[in-house]
Amino acid sequence: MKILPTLEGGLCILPESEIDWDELQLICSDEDRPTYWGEYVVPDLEENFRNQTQFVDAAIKQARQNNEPAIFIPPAEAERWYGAINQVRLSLQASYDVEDLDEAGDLNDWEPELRSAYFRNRFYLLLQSMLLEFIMNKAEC
Amino acid sequence: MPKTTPDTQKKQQTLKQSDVPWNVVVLNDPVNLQDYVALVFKKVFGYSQAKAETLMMEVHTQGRSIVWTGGREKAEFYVQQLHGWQLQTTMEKEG
Repeated sequence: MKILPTLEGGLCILPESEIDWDELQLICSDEDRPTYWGEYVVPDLEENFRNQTQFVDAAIKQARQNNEPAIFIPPAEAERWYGAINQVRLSLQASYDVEDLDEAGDLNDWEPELRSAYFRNRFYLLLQSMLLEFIMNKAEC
Repeated sequence: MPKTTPDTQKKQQTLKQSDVPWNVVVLNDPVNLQDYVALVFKKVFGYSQAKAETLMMEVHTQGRSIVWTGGREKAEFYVQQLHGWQLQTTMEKEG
């Protein structure tokens, strides 16, 4: 999978295999897992978070179903993508403590589910970093 | 000078209570990116890049940072705004 900045100031995600598409669609499926948000978030924000996830889910599904070669994230949609991905990362952290795995020894010794969660978190982190670098921080300047 | 009635006392107490400044406190978490947290401080409070980065680093190194202090109603508004940006935020009375 490649992620590239676009001329219009957005990002373009180029999935190169069915696995890449699956990986992207998991952004939305992980959102149902338990997180610690319940301790902090007032109910009316839940709808806002759900909308972010549904928006990203629809964008990915539409691109995949239409056999489009890429998913474009225009500047106006960057925050919704960032928010949806943040929810996945929060879920992965709550379920697997993925941010503490960097020093957890040999990857080969981990359970496959844990290894998958770790790599997915790294990928989502990269995507968030690019959203920030190429879109969100530029919009602030 | 007129004697203070119980009603007036109550009003004064309420006023004093509401006059107590409230701190909006952002807590550290393992998920949010540093650049993102600084960006949110700029968006929500209109802080400069330098101030936003200073507060972000305080969250990162000390586990929490008081990012705003003022009236309760506005503090509640800011807490909700920061929750909307997925930052772990709480509020507390100053002092």
